[in-house]
Amino acid sequence: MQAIAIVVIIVVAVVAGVGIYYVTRPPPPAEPIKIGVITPLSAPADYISGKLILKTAELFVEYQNAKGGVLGRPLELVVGDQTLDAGTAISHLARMVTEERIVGLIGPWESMVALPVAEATTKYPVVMFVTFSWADDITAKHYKYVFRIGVANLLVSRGTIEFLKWAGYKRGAAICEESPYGIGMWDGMVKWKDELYPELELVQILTPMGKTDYTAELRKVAEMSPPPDIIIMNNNLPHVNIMLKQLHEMGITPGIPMVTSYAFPLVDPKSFWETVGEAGVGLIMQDFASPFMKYTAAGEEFANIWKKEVGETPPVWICWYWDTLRILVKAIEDTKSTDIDVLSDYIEDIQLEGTTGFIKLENDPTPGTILWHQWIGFTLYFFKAESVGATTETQIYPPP
Amino acid sequence: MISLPVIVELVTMGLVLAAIYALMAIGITLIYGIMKVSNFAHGEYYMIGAYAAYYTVKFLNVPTALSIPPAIAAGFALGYIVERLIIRDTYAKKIERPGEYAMLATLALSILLQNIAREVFGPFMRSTPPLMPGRVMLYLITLSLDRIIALVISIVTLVALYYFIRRTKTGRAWRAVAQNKVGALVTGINPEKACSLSYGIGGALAALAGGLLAPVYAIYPNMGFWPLIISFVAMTLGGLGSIEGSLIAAVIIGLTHVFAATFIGSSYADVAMYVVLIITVVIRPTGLLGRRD
Repeated sequence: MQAIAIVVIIVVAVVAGVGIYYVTRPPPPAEPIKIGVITPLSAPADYISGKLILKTAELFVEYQNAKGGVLGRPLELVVGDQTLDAGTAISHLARMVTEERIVGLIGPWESMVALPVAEATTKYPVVMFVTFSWADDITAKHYKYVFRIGVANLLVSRGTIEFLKWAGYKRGAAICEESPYGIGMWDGMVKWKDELYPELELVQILTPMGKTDYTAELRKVAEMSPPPDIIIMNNNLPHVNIMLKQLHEMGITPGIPMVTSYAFPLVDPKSFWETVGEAGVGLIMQDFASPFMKYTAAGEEFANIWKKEVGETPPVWICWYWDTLRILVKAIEDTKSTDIDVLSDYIEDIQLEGTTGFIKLENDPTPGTILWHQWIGFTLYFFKAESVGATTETQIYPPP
Repeated sequence: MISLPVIVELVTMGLVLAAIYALMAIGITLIYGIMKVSNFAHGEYYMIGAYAAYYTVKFLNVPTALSIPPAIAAGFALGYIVERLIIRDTYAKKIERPGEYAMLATLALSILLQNIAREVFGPFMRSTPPLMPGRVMLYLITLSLDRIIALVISIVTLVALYYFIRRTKTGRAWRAVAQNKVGALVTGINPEKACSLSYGIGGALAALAGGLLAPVYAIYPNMGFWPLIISFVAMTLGGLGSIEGSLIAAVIIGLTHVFAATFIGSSYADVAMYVVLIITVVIRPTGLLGRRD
């Protein structure tokens, strides 16, 4: 009898213990919401920009998790090095979608990688954002899940032609690297020239990527008859700096003014001036930020976070990456869903105060138009480098 | 109808390019000629030379001309060390496929050195001040004095190297090692010493090119890629290991680039270079002046 009582007491104690444990145990951690980042993190891809992009994503996750995450769940990053190989980037995408179950993706940087990955989202669906991958096809192909909060060749080239018209240039030598960026800029300039400024004559000079000596190619500028009154450079770093130097060496500049389709030279002004010296004086550069540009409240908040961490003002395209993450989080919070189709439908009609202006997407269903899942709220500014070592260039267009 | 002045202009430009290409290719040709080793890290010796010149100018505040000897020394030291640590196994040990080993080892070294350069020197572009500021009009084309200096030094170096290999005791020892290491050993030549020295000098020549061309082009971690491509094409076209052949090949490449860019299109300049290489190798598998082993 006594033995039975002991057994009963033990059983009751064990049951009670187990019951107390289950009642008082801490709740299991919420499953994280995963965001993919496929960006260049090693050469020969532009890993300098890639590291800044990753830093932005890390800062955002830290910022959002400090606010309690999203729908009570923490954010978590899944990172892949895109290299310059679309196959590698797509394998990252496949892994992130099928194994990591990411909800959103910061897509690759270079268009030559971003475009195949955008295509691959039809097979591995996920909401993908790009900002500074300029190839028109990224939005012109009307992918369901791909959104661009940034620039496209066709939009930038329109700005270039508007500037050339405003400045009165009549004959341009357009040096274009053989890449989606260089060729895309050329195609865009030809289109807008015909529509906006048919009097303008443009001569294309293609330059292979990866060379060191471009004198054979640049000689074509020198032999143009009549000579061009402007040289338009659609080349990325480091080639744009090398060409500036060689144009000067060949005596083509400073006689003929030059304009670059983006302010690549000023990614690092110190090394730019050290490398090109006098050859950079007079260079006109296009950019999407200006000393006269004002941040929104959201922009101020991000700029402060970035300055605290990195020690300088964020480049404008980094602000756009911050915006893409804010869009994704707002979509998840407002729809209370992580379903790709629900999020995609919501983002199509997003209305949000971005860091540099209001964000609303164009969604023209006409086949082939780039105005699909495309933000067009940025401004193109033109600056002129007036002297060696200049860091704050003079804005010449639009007139400040 | 193409006018004579245009032809003369193009030929002049092509020859100037050729001299620079030859300068890039000398070191790799020398190494292959003596050791029969494909050096895929050649571009990085070029890069190290450029950075050595840059930091000499920056920290010692000396004229660019005085930065060339440290550049050469850096290239030599790196070449010498790499030969001792990595390449020596190709002939000192019984490796089954020494050629493949050397190729992969130098390729890995190339990637390693590029990444180290990126971390140590930073990713951004640098440049040394001109060796001699100014430009000259050479017939119809304008050239910087730095390019002229590179051209002259390229020719002097080629002639000196040719003389060194043909006429000096060390040069003859190198040729003996290139032909038969065991035979050379029997005659009292130390093949290991000859190999270390020739590899070091190959590195020094690449670094000389890097230092000289730093003011003409620019300095960045993967700046050696294009010189590597040009060097391999020049070496293969000229005949593996033939210094005279690589000089002739550099002239052909320079002229091909300029004429193809002008008359076919810039996009086809490199294609034309490879077409010339393929046709040459099909007709003459050993290259222009190469010999069968």
